[in-house]
Amino acid sequence: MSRTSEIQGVGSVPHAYYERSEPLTGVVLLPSQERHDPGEHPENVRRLPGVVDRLRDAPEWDRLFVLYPRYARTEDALRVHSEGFVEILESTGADAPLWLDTDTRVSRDSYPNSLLAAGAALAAVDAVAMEAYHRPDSLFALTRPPGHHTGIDKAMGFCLLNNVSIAARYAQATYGIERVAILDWDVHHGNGTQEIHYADPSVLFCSLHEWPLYPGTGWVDETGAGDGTGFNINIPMPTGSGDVEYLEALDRVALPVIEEFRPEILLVSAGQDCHAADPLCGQLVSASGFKAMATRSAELARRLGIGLVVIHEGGYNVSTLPLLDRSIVAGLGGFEVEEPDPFAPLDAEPPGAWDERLESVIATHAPRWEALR
Amino acid sequence: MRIGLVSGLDWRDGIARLRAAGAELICLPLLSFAPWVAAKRDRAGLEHAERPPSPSLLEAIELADGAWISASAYESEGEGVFYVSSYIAGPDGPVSRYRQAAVVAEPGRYEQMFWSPGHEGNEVAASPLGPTGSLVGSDVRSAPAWEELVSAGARAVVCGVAEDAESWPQTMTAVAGLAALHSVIAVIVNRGGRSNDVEFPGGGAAFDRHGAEIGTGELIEVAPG
Ligand SMILES: [Zn+2]
Repeated sequence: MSRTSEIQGVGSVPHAYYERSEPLTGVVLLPSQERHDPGEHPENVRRLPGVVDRLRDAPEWDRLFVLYPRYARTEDALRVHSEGFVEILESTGADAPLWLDTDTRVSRDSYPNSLLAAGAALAAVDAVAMEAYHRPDSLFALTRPPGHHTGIDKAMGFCLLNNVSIAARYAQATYGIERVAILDWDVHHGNGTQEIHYADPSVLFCSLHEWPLYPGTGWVDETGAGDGTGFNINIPMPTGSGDVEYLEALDRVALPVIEEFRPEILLVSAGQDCHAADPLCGQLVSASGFKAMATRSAELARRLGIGLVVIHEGGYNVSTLPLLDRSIVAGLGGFEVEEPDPFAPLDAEPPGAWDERLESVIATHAPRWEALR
Repeated sequence: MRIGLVSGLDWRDGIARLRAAGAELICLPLLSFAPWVAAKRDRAGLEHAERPPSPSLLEAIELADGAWISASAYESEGEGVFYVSSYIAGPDGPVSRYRQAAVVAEPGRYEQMFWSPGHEGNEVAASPLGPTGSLVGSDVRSAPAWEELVSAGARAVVCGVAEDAESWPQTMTAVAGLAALHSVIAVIVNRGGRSNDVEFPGGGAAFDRHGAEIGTGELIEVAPG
């Protein structure tokens, strides 16, 4: 039995919040996440248990809204992915272990676990979107595998189902929501999410990613297609970008545009692989940087009066991920984090070409968005 | 039997010299074949990892020319997956392997940036020192790590560390105490020389089942456990 399934008080509202003046946040936990087991792999079964343990040990644990997911249904996946692709994923169990591309490996129960991961995102959407007295303001779905590289009909980059896109379309189909904003701060470009919503003006996609880096997409000029033109915003961050650059990208581009878009729900693809100690990238974001990004996202959602769902994507240093995810929860709920980040860079040089990159993003999107003018 | 301890950076010379002096088991410190990458927050250090089994380890086994080796290699299982693997190897190759589980993060010691905690458990090898386990890095101060080895039948524990002048005496004291607690022979070797701007004092010792020092220096006579 995984440690997460021993947790008490699932779905309960902490008593202190019956008359609350503070934000209510929490987590969706994924029981049996170890069923998706790619073996010796960056995206391994050891990533999330340490995160859950750290949260359980933290003083804010008692103030968190905690719930478990249900399985997403096939029809939820089919709002995003092709029928043929879902059938292929369904069939992988029989032939597992199996590589779907050079770095995406499935085990026997990977597909049911990916339905549960998508279901965690849906449970979070339900909780923040339903008209309920104890509606949480935000939730962080602690999911794996990640999803943002999977497009309409191709699994890649450790991802199986695109959890954030499935959540976006579910919110539209279920709650009469028209406009969904997706903010993606994973170090890699969310090429799958971009592909799915590229021609769709009802979903604003804004991605901060190291560039150049896997998967190679995500340059400034990929702005959307047809009616969706102007609703796909890529902010390619130079290698060596840290808290200053990531927060500047949020403050000067992503958050003002999202605010102008007036979404009815805000989804975040939270990949902590842009952290300074992640083995898969060259970025320098610190734990307090993640907390600040979460705080800004939560403040924007509060200003707009909408729900916020944060969905776990990358983050591949098993040792540091617990602090980073705890910092995100702290940002959402307004909690203090007393642990220092030993990897926070103190003396980083500003990355070259950042000002030019930012100006070119602003220049590209200013015609469509007044907030950038 | 004779145990040889190689502290210095030139492990090739050290192994050959101690083998010539009659060592039957040659022990190397933490990160035996790589620079001290954990000194700096610089991802370039990741480039020093080798695919398992570490070619440097295999070279060390060759150089040992029939003697046993205890050494720890910086290994990568693929992009983004790094470990420090501690091996006990006989003349024919590795006999046991475990991966450092307690990984340190503190200013000036950024191990967590360069390797993940091992998760496979530890093993005992039938070395000339008797049933022998190895521990490296912070694991040498971990009571549960010793308990795991002893309950698997270890009668001797060889330890490889990279401690600075301040923490080295404390680490030796801890190892002597754990040897006495578990009634096993302990051997410890520290990293020596300057690497990545950090100076390591080197040194090593063997302790008997009561935690009493059997000897120090690079060649120590020990009765097998
Ligand atoms: Zn990523």
